[in-house]
Amino acid sequence: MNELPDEIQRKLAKAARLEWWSLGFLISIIVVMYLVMGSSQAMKTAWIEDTLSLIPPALFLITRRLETKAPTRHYPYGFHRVGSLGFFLSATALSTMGAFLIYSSATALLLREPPTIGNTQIFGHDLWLGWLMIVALAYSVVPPVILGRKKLPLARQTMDKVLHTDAQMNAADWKTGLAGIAGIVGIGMGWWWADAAAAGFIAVDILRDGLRAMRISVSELLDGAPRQLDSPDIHPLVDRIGRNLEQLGWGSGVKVRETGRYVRASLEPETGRAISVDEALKIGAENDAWRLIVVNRTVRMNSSAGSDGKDPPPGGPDQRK
Amino acid sequence: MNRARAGLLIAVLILAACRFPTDPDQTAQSVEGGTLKVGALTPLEKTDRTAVEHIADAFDADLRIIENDPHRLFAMLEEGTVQIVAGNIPDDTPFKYSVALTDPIGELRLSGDTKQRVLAVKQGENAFLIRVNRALARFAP
Repeated sequence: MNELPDEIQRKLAKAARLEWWSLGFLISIIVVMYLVMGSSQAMKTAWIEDTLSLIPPALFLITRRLETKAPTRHYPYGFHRVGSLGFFLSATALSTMGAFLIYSSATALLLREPPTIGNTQIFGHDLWLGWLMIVALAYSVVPPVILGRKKLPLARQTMDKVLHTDAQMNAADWKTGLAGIAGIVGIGMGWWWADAAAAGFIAVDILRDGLRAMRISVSELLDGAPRQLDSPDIHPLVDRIGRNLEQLGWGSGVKVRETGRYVRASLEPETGRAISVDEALKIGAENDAWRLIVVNRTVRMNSSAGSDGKDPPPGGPDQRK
Repeated sequence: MNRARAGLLIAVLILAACRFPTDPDQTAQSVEGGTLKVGALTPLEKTDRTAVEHIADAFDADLRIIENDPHRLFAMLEEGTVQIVAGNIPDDTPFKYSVALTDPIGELRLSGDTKQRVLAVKQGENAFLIRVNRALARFAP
């Protein structure tokens, strides 16, 4: 099932390469941060975030592999909605990161725990561990800035919500990295509250992004109308399709929903039930006839049906694309 | 305007870096040339005693040892009435979450295990901790 235009395919392949790079860099960042983390709470938090940021790239790569699989008897629609599930999971990861960050900085501030950062020996030199942490954090800032910026336009063009969430995750990464540097500089100046406060400000931002993405992804899982990539507003595509299909005068409402990056429109009555229980019985449902409420049939629109737009095609009024 | 602001920021950072890191409660400054007050959990054995004497020397400070029970001493450490708590403290002490521990000053036999012997200082007093560790490193055998 490869129904994607070549151009989109190419962009997705590029995105996949970026995600492999992301995974590689993230793992190197996780290792470096682990080595200098010591007992600093702020660094531990940054480290946990970096670990959480592995989730969206991994989900993107898994989704992409599954999405193109052919339908089976158990999954007759194919696996388009793996994208929806991946989007929900990565939005959850982003929200978890925001919530965790708020929790850890709030407890640090409330318990008044001044962070202790001692010294260490490196190549025979005695050095404040804070300097090493700043170097590690500075390294952790660079890849997400570059990768995130490259991912964003690709996510828009391919309508890939996992990729979009991942780009937001990258933005969260570099912001927390900078906040971490500010925090350690603050600790060095004797302001014990500095890093918790810096992290707290950014956490609110991250949680807001995460919750918005979760809201959009839940609407997708609930067969809601397609939403825009970065807002819960309905995508303009819905009205465009609706207007054009309604002109055909098939006498039913146009319903549009989203399955992964794809959109499915169908012409169905406003109420859920399109066929009566009696009709369902005829089709072959038995005691469970009440469960069958719609029978859809895909129509191909030839050029004339599109232009004069009045005659329903012989197949019937329901259309799926 | 922006350039001036960036310049100012860099100047502040360089100034700050000269006395990096500092103590939120100025422990290092208060001990320098004054008195180093050490809380002793037990009468200090040789290793602990030599270590705190070296630290007092490094700060050019008089040494005063105050014996008391553990909880009172750790409370005094938190308040700043003593700067160090010493006396057979292993590096995995249950108090490690509420205090900062120095580099090891020797070994310690505890219920059949050999552990690293450390001193406790107040959490977050990073300048003091570093100077204590450096003093210990200098006098290490």
